Amino acid sequence: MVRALLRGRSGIAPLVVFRIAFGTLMTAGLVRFWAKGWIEALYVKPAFFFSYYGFDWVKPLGSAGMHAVFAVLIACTVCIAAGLFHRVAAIGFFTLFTYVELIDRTNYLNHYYFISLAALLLCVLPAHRAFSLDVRLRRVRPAEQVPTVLVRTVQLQLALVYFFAGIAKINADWLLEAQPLRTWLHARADLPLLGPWLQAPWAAYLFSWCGMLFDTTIAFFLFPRRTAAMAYATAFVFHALTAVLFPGIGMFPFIMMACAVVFLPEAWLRRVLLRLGWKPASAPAEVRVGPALRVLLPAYFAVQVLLPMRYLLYPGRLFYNEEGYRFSWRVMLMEKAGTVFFTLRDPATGQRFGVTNSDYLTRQQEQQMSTQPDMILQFAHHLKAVNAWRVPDAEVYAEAYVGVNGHGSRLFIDPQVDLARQRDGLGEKTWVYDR
Amino acid sequence: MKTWERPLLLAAATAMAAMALLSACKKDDDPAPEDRFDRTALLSDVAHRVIVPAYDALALSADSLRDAAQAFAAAPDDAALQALRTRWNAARERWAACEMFRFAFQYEQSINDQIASWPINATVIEGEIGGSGPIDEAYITSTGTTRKGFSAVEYLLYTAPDDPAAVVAAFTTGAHADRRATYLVSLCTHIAARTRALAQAWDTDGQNYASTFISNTQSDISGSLNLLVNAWVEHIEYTRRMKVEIPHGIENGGTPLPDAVEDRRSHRSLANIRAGIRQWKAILSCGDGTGIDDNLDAVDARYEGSALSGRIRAQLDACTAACDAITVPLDEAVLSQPEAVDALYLAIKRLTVLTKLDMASSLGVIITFSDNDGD
Repeated sequence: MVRALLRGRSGIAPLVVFRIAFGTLMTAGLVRFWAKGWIEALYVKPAFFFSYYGFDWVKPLGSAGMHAVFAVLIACTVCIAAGLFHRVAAIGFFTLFTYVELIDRTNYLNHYYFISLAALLLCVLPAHRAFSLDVRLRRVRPAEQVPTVLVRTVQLQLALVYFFAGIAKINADWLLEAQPLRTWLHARADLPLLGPWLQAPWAAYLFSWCGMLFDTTIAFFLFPRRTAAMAYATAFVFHALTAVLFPGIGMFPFIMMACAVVFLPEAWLRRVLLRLGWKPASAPAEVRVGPALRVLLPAYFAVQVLLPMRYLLYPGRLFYNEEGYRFSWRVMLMEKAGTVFFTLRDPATGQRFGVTNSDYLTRQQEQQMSTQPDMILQFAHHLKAVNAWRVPDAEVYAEAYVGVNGHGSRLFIDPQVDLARQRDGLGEKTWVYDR
Repeated sequence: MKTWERPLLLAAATAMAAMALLSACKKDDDPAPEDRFDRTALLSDVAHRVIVPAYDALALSADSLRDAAQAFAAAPDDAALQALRTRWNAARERWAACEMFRFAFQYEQSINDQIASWPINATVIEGEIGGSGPIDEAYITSTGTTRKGFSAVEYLLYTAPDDPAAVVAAFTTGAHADRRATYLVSLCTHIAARTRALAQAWDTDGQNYASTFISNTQSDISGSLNLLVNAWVEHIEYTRRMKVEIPHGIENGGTPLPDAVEDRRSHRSLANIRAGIRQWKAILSCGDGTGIDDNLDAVDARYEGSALSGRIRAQLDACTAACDAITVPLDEAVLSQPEAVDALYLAIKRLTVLTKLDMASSLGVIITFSDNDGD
């Protein structure tokens, strides 16, 4: 069966369309990011950055440096779309984009993670072997057919996103209380036409259940050839609706709409490329799956399947401790707000020093930190370090409140625990009230 | 394709189509009125019952402050000083009720800084009075924020808080008495002009900002409900930190800082905090109009089993009661009644959690001014 999977051949069009759609969308996304001043706001202005566990060596490069990084990123996306120096551009884009994302977990978004993964896949896919400048300039030999498994790779990655996003929605808040959609839809009552309906409780239930059913099942309709087109149309409507209802999620719906085209019938995509001016080669080259990929792709997908399930290893409620929350396609899953009052205590004198978080963090950082225990811990260590001049060897205590899905604010970190003495790590955070 | 696949897919597609169709339905198919909350009514009542009256009252009291300053400058005596101080107290309290309306609009920000910067720099003010440069409203408008506004007037009126005769003397027989009087009148004229500009910005006969505010019903961060809730929470946090926490010594190891109390010369600090709390209550209920409380009730926001709106109202009352429990001016209380000050601090802190978390979450408001993407 493995052999059959590797031997199977299909047209290259889905990969080419995926490359062009992804590259174009990334160019637009990065230009938008720049134009909105977010490079400055997110990577230059903050005095402190919330690095990921194990990645505290990743640092920003200052204003000129970060703008240069984004300039190179944009150049890479243009090259990816045009199929020019594809391999270099894809590797460059993956490396720099992932670097930017690793600087500060304040900015973690599931679709940024998806972009990193898609870019990683593009590094190894022969998506530039047709309708590309690399072919036109004879840098690579053109191809017509590719191993089916490579098309399946992109499709499977997308399928996992949908599936795990759906599984995550199978929880009491989402299904039984229609939260957080009840809150969010109510807030969208200003929308023309749709608005008044969104305030009705049944609307929240309808959207919650439809959303869960759509996410968990859509992949099973996208794969079969006969249902693919209709499933894509459904997905398109679904994402368009989320884009209208929740403009705050930014590029996400558009990325999914663009990338899911890889599920459309190959013949259709081929026709699109031909209409765009693609001249298939007279003597196409054979593309094979190299020995390295035969090992790496299964390993990659094993990680992709296991990572979203790692939360099962942690006791307590996920929405509070968020242990295993990231990198798991938990998209628009909860309304969570928090506020934390930190106090430094001088063990020698017993004096207590209240802290105002905004003296150290941007608003965005403070907002994200306030709800996520690992960031609260990291900030506590930072507070101890930068206040060492006035409070030597300080103990750091957090009076942290959080509200999840309209359940009311509650204390969620043990206020008696000296966070300065707690180490960050992958283990359970025993000082989080998550029962 | 399995036989069950097509019906399921058709069902999903039909559901989507039905929703699209629903959205295009006519008005008479709208859901029952009790299901709906009218955000326009909320914004309209906040604008017309709270914000506009507050700015109008501020402008009027600033006019009478200016008039009293001119009367005092013309004939400085104890009675005129007393009248002027009373007018200042009233105008300053009216400002405390407007302080929270910071909707991140440029003109509001700059006017706030112009008239409400604090603390002022007494040395620099005395330097101006003792100098020889021209003093008039134009000069005040152009000069730095640490030498003008309500706090600068307070300094001139309460230079010796408990010795009115000494204050009057400074305006009659003291060095540069004329320039001191001119400075005082210029300050008050400036305040009157700036507060009038604020009132006009909101007035239907002026820039009519009220109608912009009301029609800005969108739910993203630039929508008026977001601006209102953010401004409110911001002011609660500002009040807690700047007016209570810092003087109480919370941030510096427990040493009280009476000099850091706002309006400490006039001993009006608690009165002004109370005026702020009254305005928070006004925003919550809008009298018998549509307030934030009605919005909270419409989404059935609850806190530990009871209505969140009632819980917030009770906490606002607790804040007022905590102010009332402090029986001496705040700058004395941080030294002599630390427990009572602590109770006020904790009451406002509790209110912070209820508004910043529970209220904002229930309304679907994001507490931030950044417009970065989320998921």
